[in-house]
Parts: sequence; C-alpha cells; structure tokens
Amino acid sequence: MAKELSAPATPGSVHAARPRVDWLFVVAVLAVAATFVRALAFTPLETVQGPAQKIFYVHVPAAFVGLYIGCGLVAVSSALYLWLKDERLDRMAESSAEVGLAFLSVVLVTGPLWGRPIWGTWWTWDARLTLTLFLWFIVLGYLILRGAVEDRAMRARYSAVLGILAALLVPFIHLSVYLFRTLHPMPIVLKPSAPSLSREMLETLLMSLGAFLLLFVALLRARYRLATDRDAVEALEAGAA
Amino acid sequence: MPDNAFYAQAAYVAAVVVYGVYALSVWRRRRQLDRRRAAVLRGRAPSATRPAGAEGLPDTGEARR
Repeated sequence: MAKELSAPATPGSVHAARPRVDWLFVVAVLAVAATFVRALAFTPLETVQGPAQKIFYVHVPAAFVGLYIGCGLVAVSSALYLWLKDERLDRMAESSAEVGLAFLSVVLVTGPLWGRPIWGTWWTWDARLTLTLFLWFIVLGYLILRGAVEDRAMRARYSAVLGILAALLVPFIHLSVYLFRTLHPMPIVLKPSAPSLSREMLETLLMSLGAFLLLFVALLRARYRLATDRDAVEALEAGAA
Repeated sequence: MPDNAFYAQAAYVAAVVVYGVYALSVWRRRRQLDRRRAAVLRGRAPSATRPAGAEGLPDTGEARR
C-alpha cells in the first residue's frame, strides 16, 4: 500500500499523497497582498477619479488573466484535446475554465463598484459589459455541462466544443470599445501607442498583473491536481466495485 | 478630488472574498477526495488491524470496533 500511495497521480492508480502546504499558493497570496498594499498606500491618486481609480489595479489584471489567459487556455487545451484525445488536456481545459470563472467573477464585481462613482450607474447594457456577462454565463454553462454528462469521452468532446466557442467571444470583448459606442474606456496599456499612465501607476499595474498571474497559476495547479486525483479515485472505485 | 474611497475598499474586499471562497472550495473538495480515497483503500487493502490470516476476506471493520 505504501508503494501505491507514493505512485504518480495517473488515472487508474492511487494518487500520491500531496504536501500539506501549497507553497506556490502561499507565495501567490503574499504577492497579491503586497500588490494591494502598494496600490492602496504607495501609488498616487488619480486627480479626476479620486480613490475609486485604484479599483483599476484589481479590475484590469483580473480581466487580463481571466479573459486572455484563462479563456485562452480553455480554447487551446480544448482544440488540442479534439485532436489528440489526451485526457490531461481535458483536465487542463476544465481547470482553466473554473479558475477563469473566478477571475471573471472578480471583473464583474469590481466593474460596477468602479462604474457607480465614475459613471453614476452600477451597470449599463453596453457591448463590453454585456459580452463579458455573456461570457461568464457561457463558462458557467460549460462547467454545468461537464457535471451533467456522465460518459467521460462524450463530456470531454462536448465541453471542448463549447470551450472553443466561448473563447471566440474574447476578441469581440477586446475590440468592443472600438466597434461600438460604449461607456467603457479605451485600453490605456494594450494599444499600439505608449501606455497612458504615469510611471508609478504603470509599475503598480505590472506588479499587480504579475501577482494575479501567479495566483492564477497556483489555483490552476491546485485545481488540475484535484481533477487528476478525482479521476484516479474514480478509477479505483470502479475497480473496487 | 471626489471622496469615493469606499468603492475602492469594497472592490478590494470583494476580490479577496471571491478568491478566498474559491480557494476554500478547492481545499474542501480535496479533503472530500482524500476521504473517498482512504475509504476505497480501507475496503481494498489488508488492514494492519485485522487478525492474521484474514487477508482476502472482506473487511467488515470488526477488528477496529
């Protein structure tokens, strides 16, 4: 049994005992905490918007990581799964979608909290906000679909198609501020010309992006391990039955 | 300069809550999975608490009671 417990975490085998402390997650939490302290206490206030502008250092990195990294990983893993039929890719897509949904939730919560003092409204049905909400529901539907289909191969195939379709919204969300009349401001960093930010603000934003990316990687690793071990335990249960 | 610090503080707290709840949910599912794994292994492997010669027989948990 000791040999089984130390075996690598692969489907059909018992997963290895995981370390009690996830150091990557601890480092990520410390990095996010340091970023929050820097953003709130050591980054200059924007004179027109006031303190509410500091929501920028949470909202934008969460959007960047959730939309481009999270949904991007779902699309790439799903496409590769349809090609290679490797279960690890399906687990990666599943894990990216779930962690990405947490980041999209932060975007959708912090956005209205920023909009209320600056635009005078919590929400407006303009293109960028509506498409982001629509994407949130599609990713939620993706996860519900995964829970509803029992056959593993069928579940992986259906959800891969939905994952790719969901990610197709991301370019439209990015370009929506150019394509439609919207209250949402234009990009001030991801644009052809130089960023429209002071040096201190840009440094805080880059630090925040790094910390949120680290948090994403830590959560993704934990969630991927959970999926791997779940499959291994399910195979074990099937073998024991 | 507008006095709207409340919204910034609320946004940071909301972000901490969302990430915290999600991390907790992963941790909770991990513990549930560990319990499931332990239950399967208890039912499958010969237990150290079972009497000698009982290997191969179904573990009724009698020896641990």
